[in-house]
Amino acid sequence: MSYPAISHKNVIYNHTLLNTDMITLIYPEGDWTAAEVVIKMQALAASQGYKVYVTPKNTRRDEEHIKLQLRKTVYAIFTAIDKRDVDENSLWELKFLHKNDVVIYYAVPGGFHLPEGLYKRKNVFYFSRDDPEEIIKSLDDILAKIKKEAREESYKKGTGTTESGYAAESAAILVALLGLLLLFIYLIFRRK
Amino acid sequence: MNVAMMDNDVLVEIFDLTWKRDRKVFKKVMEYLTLRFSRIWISDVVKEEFLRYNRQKRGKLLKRHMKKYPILKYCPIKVAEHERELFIPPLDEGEADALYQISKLHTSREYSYIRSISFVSNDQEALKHAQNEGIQTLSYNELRTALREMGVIL
Repeated sequence: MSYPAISHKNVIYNHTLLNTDMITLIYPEGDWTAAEVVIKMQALAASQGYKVYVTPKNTRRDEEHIKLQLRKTVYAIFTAIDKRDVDENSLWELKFLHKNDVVIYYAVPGGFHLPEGLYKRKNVFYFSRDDPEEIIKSLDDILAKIKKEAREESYKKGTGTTESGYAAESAAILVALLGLLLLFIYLIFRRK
Repeated sequence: MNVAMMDNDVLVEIFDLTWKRDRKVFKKVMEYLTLRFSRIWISDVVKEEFLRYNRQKRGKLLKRHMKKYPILKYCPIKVAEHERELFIPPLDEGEADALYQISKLHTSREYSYIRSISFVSNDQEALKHAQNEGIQTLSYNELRTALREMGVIL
């Protein structure tokens, strides 16, 4: 009995994927609008072969498994749309990421109660329900800022090395995801 | 391009039962699948298995879904019966057909534009067999978990 071999190209591709760092998306428990946005973003990222992890809130939680995934994270994005507070589970995840020196970006509505000591002001993007156009206006500035930071970080690590290559790739994915997130939020608010 | 190869059990669950149960849920499932995959392929034998029960009704249903969702396509790769038989047992005919088509795709230059292909099934044995062959898999349970996070209960 003989089976056809899997092509070399495919094996190399899968190997590259395994080495790419992960981006984690977090949303507060019970925020169903944010959950939908985040899961759709994960699906889109998966379609492009990027590894994006969404911490489970509405299904069974296995904290050991979550810890394992969070350890692989290089960037995290926290988003909330309907909620105004961070829930207990999300707080635990944010603290874990903060302890591991992961950069956390927040895209939250104005008036959201951010957890003390777990955020840097420059990484928080507020949006308003009343003026969804504002999101699109600020989108360009935010993306340019992150791109610049990622480039600087890549320079610090030294260009040409494999490590910096992965860092630059992760930053590019992060930029795309943040842009996508804000676009989703804009579309939701415009519809409402 | 990212392709999903559907097994009959998932096809029945989503395109027949979920559609009949709740159209809104079906729409959400399709939204998710459309974002995740560029194409959903149905192999010839899986199609036959799907149509075996109530051929006329399910035939119409499949035609309707394929018209509405252009990502749904019949698999362009053909597998001969004697090739398929290499995988039977432990797999049934539909699973063997789908897995052999994926293996054939990996060796063909014609489909080099396809970046990844996942086998979507609810059959643990078929999923395990696919993983042993080095084929990417997506279990129905994984799909259900992702959708449950969005509040969609399958």
